[in-house]
Amino acid sequence: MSYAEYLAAIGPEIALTIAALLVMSIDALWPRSVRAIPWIGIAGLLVTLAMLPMFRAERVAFSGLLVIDPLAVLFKVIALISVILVALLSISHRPLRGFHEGEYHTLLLFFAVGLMFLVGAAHLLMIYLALEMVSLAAYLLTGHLKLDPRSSEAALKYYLFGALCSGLFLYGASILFGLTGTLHLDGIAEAVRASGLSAALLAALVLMLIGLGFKIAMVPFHLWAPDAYEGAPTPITALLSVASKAGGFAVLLRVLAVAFPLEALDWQPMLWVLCVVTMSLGNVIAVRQGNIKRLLAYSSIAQAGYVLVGVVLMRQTPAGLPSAMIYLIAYLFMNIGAFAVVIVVSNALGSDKIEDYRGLARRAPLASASLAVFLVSLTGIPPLAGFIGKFYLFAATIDAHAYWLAVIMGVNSVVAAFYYFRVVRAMYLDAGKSEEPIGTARPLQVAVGVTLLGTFVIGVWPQPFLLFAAALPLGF
Amino acid sequence: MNILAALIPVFPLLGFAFIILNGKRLGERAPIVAVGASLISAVIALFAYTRVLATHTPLSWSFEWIAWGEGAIRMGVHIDGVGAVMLFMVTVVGTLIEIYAIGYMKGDYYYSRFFAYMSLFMAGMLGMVVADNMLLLFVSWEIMGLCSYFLIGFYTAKPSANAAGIKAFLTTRLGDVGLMMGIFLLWWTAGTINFEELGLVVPQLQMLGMDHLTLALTIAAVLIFVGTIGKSAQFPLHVWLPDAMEGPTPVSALIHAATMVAAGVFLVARTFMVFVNFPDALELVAVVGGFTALFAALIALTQTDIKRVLAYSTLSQLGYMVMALGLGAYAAGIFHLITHAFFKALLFMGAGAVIHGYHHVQDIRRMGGLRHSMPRTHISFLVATLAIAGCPLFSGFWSKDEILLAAFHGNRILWGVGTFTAFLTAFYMFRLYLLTFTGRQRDTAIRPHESPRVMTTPLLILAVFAFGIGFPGSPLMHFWVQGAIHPSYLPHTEHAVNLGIMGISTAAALLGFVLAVLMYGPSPKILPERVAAGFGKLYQLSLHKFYIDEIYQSVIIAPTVGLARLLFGFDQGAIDGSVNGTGRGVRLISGAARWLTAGNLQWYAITFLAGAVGLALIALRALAG
Repeated sequence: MSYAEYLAAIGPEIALTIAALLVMSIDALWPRSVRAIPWIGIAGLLVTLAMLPMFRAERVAFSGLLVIDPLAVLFKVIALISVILVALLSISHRPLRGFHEGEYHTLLLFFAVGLMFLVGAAHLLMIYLALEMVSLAAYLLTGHLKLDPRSSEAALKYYLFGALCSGLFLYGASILFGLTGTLHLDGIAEAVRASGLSAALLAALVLMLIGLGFKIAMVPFHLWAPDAYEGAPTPITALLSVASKAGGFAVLLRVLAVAFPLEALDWQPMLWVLCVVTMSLGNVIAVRQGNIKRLLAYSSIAQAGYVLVGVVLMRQTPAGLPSAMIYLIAYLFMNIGAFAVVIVVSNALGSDKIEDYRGLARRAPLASASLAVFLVSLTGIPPLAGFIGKFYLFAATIDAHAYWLAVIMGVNSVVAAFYYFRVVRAMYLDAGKSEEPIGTARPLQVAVGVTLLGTFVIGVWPQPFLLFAAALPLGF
Repeated sequence: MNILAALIPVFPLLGFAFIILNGKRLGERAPIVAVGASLISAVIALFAYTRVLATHTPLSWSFEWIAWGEGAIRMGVHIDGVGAVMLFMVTVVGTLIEIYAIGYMKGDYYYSRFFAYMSLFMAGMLGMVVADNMLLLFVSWEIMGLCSYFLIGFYTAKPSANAAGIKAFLTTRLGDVGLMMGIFLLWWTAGTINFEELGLVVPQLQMLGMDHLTLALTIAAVLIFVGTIGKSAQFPLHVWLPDAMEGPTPVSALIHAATMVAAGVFLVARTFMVFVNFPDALELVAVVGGFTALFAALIALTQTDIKRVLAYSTLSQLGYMVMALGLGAYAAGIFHLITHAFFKALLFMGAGAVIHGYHHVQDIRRMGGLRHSMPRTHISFLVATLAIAGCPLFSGFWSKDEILLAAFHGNRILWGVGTFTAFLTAFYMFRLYLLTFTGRQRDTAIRPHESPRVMTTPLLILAVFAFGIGFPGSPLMHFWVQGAIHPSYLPHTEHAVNLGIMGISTAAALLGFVLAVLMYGPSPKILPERVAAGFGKLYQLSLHKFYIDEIYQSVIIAPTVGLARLLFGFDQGAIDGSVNGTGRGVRLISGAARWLTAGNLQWYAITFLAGAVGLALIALRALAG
């Protein structure tokens, strides 16, 4: 394959890079066009999204560094949609207004580029490079509001943890390289099958799990998340909780499914424990939160636990992987939607405290109804997306005879209902201090509309999404 | 075309969303959206049902809704003969009532909201008619129930309206639970809830002749019928319908006379394959229907509120339809459903016009002589009265005769009950008509006036239907409607027309008419007071609706409330204590965990390390094992 063909394989990534550079140059050359910058970025993202169907033919590019397979395409779609929504949220988020917007949107686009490389990476070095690209953009975005001490603190904590974790990941990768003599995931798998289980192999697995667990805020490697989520600009909180997590899941899936064949090394018990701890702890701590961003932070930790259920069962039942994917897609819409409403409220009140949500239903009936829909969907009640996601996860546990997992998930859903409905109760049943109506900026209306539509459509007619998710063969 | 059929319920749904979101801005223009949406649906439906009726082939369209392991559930629409005639009725009657409501509801504070609910109701009703499976039917069924609740309690300032709304909601809920269990049982037994597939599977199961299957299907049929008892207000769950008259009159006409209450009848017709081979289930249906027909007619004799007389009459007529289904003559039952929808909607709208033009008085004892001041209302009301009373050539005559004929060949006792009810019907309807429109106005303080054109024009259009809609199902047109509903409907070669039966029912109606004239006519020969005194206890029973509400109050409601109080005390003390304890436990753990995660970096690193060690330990176990 010639180099030109390699380049053709990454057409969407190239297009997005050009868009990012364009945004950066426009910001530098025509500072007065700052209003147009976010829209140029969004246009670039949309064009990239539209290009994906043309670049979905399965192939291996750059001597195995990158692959284009259904998993990569699916995750690219998830990544692009969530970044587009986050860009929409950023336009109207008051603290971000007029504050180095060109820089912000350039970083957002580079984050998306990194994510697209990450989900297609099939070589440990490539994974590491893409992971760093995503992480560096994320640290900067978290600390973007440098005049706000909470934003800087959040970025610092996130960065320190990130550095530690990428060190551990690299350590694991180097052990693996030492054992197998290759950095290609499928090459590693062959060598592991040949050599069998060893303590060094286990150490490599544990170290890499920690590195990736950090990315998806898996308990007990989640501690950075609530602080970072609370301090970051709210659109970035949405980004970290959805796009960044999705990237982490893509790598986790690829590493576990390709590099560590189950017959050589049974990673299931480890992941089982992580999954249970993640969902339970996330839910229990969320109960006591008084700040909606922290509440959603812990809730998103728990939600990642649910997705892990599908990952744990990926080898036991063909339903495992698609159920994780459908949950991730549902989670994308309902979680970003919830953050969109949080931005509506914080724009008007300058507060993220749940007590300030009292009586919101009278002041902003549509926004309140939308937030209620997203929270009800996160709880997993029909006919919304979250229900379909949970339904398939439950079906997968039953199919795999993992009844304990089903029970734990059920109990967790009940605990989660408690704190989600606390917010709904505050909005609808408690009296507020003020009756003054709250307006919603147009880009936020679009974002809420799109996420609501997604939440309803997946809930009422999940079939196209299921087909999309089920297109993944087991070994992708 | 087929996919267009799926859009029939969608337009009113969009209308609802649009009105509810833009209520304030629309204001007086809300009906344009509602009526427009109904008209679009009516036009699409027109194409759909004319094609189905002309070609005798059902129209269906579905898509794979959700995949489930090997199988999949499909969701879609299926319009066969029954669906086609229902579509015709619902779109015509529904649109006319919405137009009528433009005038009736004028000046109401929640004008636009009223039309939003009406649109949502139309979406539910049309959705139910075109549904090709039990699930979609049930969802639509519940949407209707919700709208019914909203609209009965529409005058929120009236406590009686609120109470009536709650009563209707709770009472029908009992039926809905039955229906839901029936659906589950059917699903579990037959493995499908698609009507077409059920039509193939259920007879096969029946042929296996296994006792437990027969039993399960019989129970499923009975449970589905419980849904009908709730929705169609059959005895003993009939108590909500008379109270539902607290709602605005267009609501009574549309929901509580023509369409929703008839949905129960439609449900049995839709799932008739479950009933048809199970005589026990069918007999129950017939007896409940016949009893309700007679029972409600007896109550209607003595009521004095114009809308309540009509409400009991609706109960009685629904009983007729249910009886027809139980006798296996479901084409006749649906035929009566259609004719009844037209004349009963007309009666309610006429009553609404009377109330509207008579300063919101509803007591017929205070009316009289209104034919002079309300000529258009009067003529249409008279047509509807003749139709319901079974005057020959009018629509009700043909459909009632079909049912009585079926009863004559199926169950002579029910035939007797039906004929006697026909006599009672003619009597109480003419009593109502004579007291309201003829003689002299008894309350001279009120100046009655005719309603505006926007209200009376729909009345006159419906009057044409109330007269003529029976002909397509009459022997004069070879029972065309019944043939469309039920392809294998025999044109009754040996007993297609039984002039004897026809004569007896006509005589019964005539007798009722004569008796009414004698008692309430221009020169009364028999004084109603004397009759009331003569019947003594019976009169009191009828006047007090057989004390059913009082019995429910003392036997069910009061003990339930008492038990609830008792349990509430127990709950406060014992259960709440323990639940709060659990809650406090979770909060305590949560608090502790929160404290642990309160921003200290060193602590974070230690947790991290502990996690890594934990993982390594699990990994080592794998190595050892």
